[in-house]
Amino acid sequence: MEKIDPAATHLAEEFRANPSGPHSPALQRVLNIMRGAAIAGKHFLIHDKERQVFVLAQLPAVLGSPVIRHDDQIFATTDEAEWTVFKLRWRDHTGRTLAG
Amino acid sequence: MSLGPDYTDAYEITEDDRKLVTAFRRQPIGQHSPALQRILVKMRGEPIKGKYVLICQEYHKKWALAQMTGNPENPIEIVEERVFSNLEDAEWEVFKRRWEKYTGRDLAE
Amino acid sequence: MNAIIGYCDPFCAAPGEPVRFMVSCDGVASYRTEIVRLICADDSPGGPGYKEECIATALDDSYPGVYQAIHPGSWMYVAPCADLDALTSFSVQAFIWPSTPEKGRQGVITRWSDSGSTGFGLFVDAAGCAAFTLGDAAGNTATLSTGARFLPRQWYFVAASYDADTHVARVVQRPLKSFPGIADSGEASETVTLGAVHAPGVPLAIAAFGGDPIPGEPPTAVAHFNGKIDRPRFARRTLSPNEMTALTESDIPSYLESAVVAAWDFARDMSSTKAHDLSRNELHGTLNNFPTRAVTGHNWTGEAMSWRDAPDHYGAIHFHDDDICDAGWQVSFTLDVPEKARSGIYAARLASGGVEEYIPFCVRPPRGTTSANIAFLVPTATYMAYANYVSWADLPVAEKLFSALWVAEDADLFINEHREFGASTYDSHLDGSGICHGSRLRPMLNLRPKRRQLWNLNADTHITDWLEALGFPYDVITDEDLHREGLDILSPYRAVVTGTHPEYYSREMLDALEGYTASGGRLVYTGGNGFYWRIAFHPETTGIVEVRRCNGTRNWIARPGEHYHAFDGQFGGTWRELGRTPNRLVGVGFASEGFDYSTHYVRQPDSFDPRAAFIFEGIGKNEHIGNFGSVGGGASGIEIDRADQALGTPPHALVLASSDGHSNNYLVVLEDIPLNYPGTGGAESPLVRADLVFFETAEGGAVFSTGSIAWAASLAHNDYNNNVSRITENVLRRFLDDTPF
Repeated sequence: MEKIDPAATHLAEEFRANPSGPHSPALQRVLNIMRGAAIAGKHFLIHDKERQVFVLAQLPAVLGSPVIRHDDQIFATTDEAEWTVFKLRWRDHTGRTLAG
Repeated sequence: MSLGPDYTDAYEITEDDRKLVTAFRRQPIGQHSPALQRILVKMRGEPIKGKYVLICQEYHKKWALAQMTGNPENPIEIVEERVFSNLEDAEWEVFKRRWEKYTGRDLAE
Repeated sequence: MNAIIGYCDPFCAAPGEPVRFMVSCDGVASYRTEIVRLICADDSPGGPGYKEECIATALDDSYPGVYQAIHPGSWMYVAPCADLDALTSFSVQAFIWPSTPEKGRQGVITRWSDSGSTGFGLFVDAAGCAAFTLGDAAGNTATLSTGARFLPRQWYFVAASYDADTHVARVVQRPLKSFPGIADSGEASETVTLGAVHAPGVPLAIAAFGGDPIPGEPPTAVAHFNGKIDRPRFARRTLSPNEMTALTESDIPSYLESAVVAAWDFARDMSSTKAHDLSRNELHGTLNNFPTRAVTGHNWTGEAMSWRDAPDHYGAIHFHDDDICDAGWQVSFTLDVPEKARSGIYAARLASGGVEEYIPFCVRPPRGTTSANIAFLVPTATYMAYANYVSWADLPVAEKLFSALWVAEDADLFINEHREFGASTYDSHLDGSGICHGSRLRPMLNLRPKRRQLWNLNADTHITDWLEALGFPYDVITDEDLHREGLDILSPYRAVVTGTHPEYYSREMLDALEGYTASGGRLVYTGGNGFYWRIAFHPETTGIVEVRRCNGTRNWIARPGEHYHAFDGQFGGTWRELGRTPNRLVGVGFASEGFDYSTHYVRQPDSFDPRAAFIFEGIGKNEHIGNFGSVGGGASGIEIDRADQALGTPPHALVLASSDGHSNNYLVVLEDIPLNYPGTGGAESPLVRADLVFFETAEGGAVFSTGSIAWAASLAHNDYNNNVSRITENVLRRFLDDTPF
């Protein structure tokens, strides 16, 4: 199973500059690894229509249970949210914290 | 009826990909980066007619370069008496020929 | 949180006809109701702008907010009766295949009153073993357990008996297949000190414990069983082991007829909600909440793949504790569609304070008439298949598929936490089996205007919005109308326009469209992934569809032997594997899907053919078509279809344009990959593309296909001044001209 190379921070730069793609094959591989995590704890976003923001959330461990909202983590755009989640996942996989 | 453009060129190999060539030269058989993999998949996806193949002339010792002709009466033709004593060299030779075809430039030895 | 939710029935009505609305409120004392005609249900900033028109009706200004509960879980019900009341000794038996034996108490065959603790129940206990409980009129109870834990998804014979003379109660559990070292076989026997065991006035239940009857209320149940039950039997005395074995046969042996109270043959009346009792007592059961029928029984060998070929291999029903098709709510109000109501997509808008709910429905023209020369086919079968979709939360590969973080809306969060409303046919039951029924007889919470996700309903209103903006009058017809009335409902129309995603088709619907194009009709297929899955409508209850995902590109896989519909006995799955590819009807068929970004089409040589000149009037020869749009920024995207003669694209069809530039997040569909190989992504495979196709049909007809769900979201770009709108307009204007092709 492929691991994410902590030295490949240029891929993180590429993602940050263009979260919705198209992505280089190497970045796509990183994203596939990140997005392939198990359901429990997986990040997603909640659209708060009233405030017009996106709230960070996580899927529960048990199917059909309430999701976990992080109301202190809100974003004006999905691009900003994608970058924050990318950094969280990068740290989970490599142990390193990305700048920015 | 037209079936659309010639889609065998779905990914275009360009000079930008030259930086991947060294990696292939160093290890033609083995795990490749996603970008190199993409080039190889495109090359390996070519139609049968004109496709390079190897003919084993002596087990574990000698392979000759050949091409599929698409002609059932003479399906394979040996190429210019190019023989190899190992598969890595054969892969490199085919890679170079294909590279030149796609980019119009040859790869220095 | 949804404080007002509801559904309606029927989904489509003509002026003067009633539409009933069933509404439940939580914390809302009363709500206002308006009826609106939806022109554009997309309220996103990048869209054409939300448009609805309120119409006058005879409805009251407000209605009281009443809470209505929903009771999921399928089970079989037999009404209380004298035959059952008269029993003293008895025995029950069945084959069972428990899918979640560990989930807690689950009724198998029961006649139990919770309030009085009287009656009996053969059940799966909290420890996951077969157990037998008994209670007498005084409320004294006894419970025995085999103590042997069931393995999930294995067949067992279970039986329980009570001898009123000896007071011996017995329960037994035998696996049909044993594994070395696994102790899942057991029995228990006990002399119990009880009076008469039966519970007069209490219904018999299979796959649950029946709730105590409440006058005026429909029967309810608790402790639902997950899994299959096959050949349940009820005898009026204890049976010897040989007799129990004899009773497991598909027919009742004649020497046991007098001993048998009931013997249900689940393979009979397969398409109904009735469970047939073979015995002379005719204690037929009613199946509530549509469990899955036409499933393999304990003795299925694979010699027959269809239940019609060997019904005795299909004597099982798969019950689920989360089955729900009909919420069964009381009618809250009834709309008589006003006589002057123009055909279209409508909704009842219910509001109270800051809370709002829309319940969509359609109005067709007065029966037997048309009010336009265009029919817009609203794909309601597809809406039903996707109702309450929750795969974003359940499918581990969902985020990979979407290629982005899922953005959930309030309705999504509600659906996730309220599985009692039933998830979609894309999802699995909580016991892991695929959901094969889609229904509109319950709130379809993701079928709402103003939803951020542009998919199905609100995406289809990009087309109604465009038709109205360009001044094309249209009549609305839904899939159910098409299914029932066939070609007759289409033939009066000069042109028929599909929605963005007409994915689910019955044979009758497909026959009608084929008949239409073969008799001079003009069909505009504006979408992608159309005409893909075969469905059957329930023969007794309108508003429910069945799909068996036995091939194709899909979220769950139908089990071997379970590929034939219960509803109509036909082989299910994709129309492609049934020999009726979408390519034959519309020239293109499902090629790929992806959700990162959309792209444009590039003109192909065929677009310069004189036959296609009318389509490209006003379009430059090198112009990229649709490099804009509110779904992914392009006209080719989401789910896309391509032409292929080998798959039935007519030999004279013109491939006018093809999309270019999809990423590797778009992959070739599985049915085009008999053997997988590297390089099947959009950046590398020629098979990943949408094709714009045109061809003439018999008697002066024609077909134009876009092969892309995203096409419609490009129509309104730059105030409808763009080449996607222009091409669609060129096509439709020519299609409305009677001059034959």
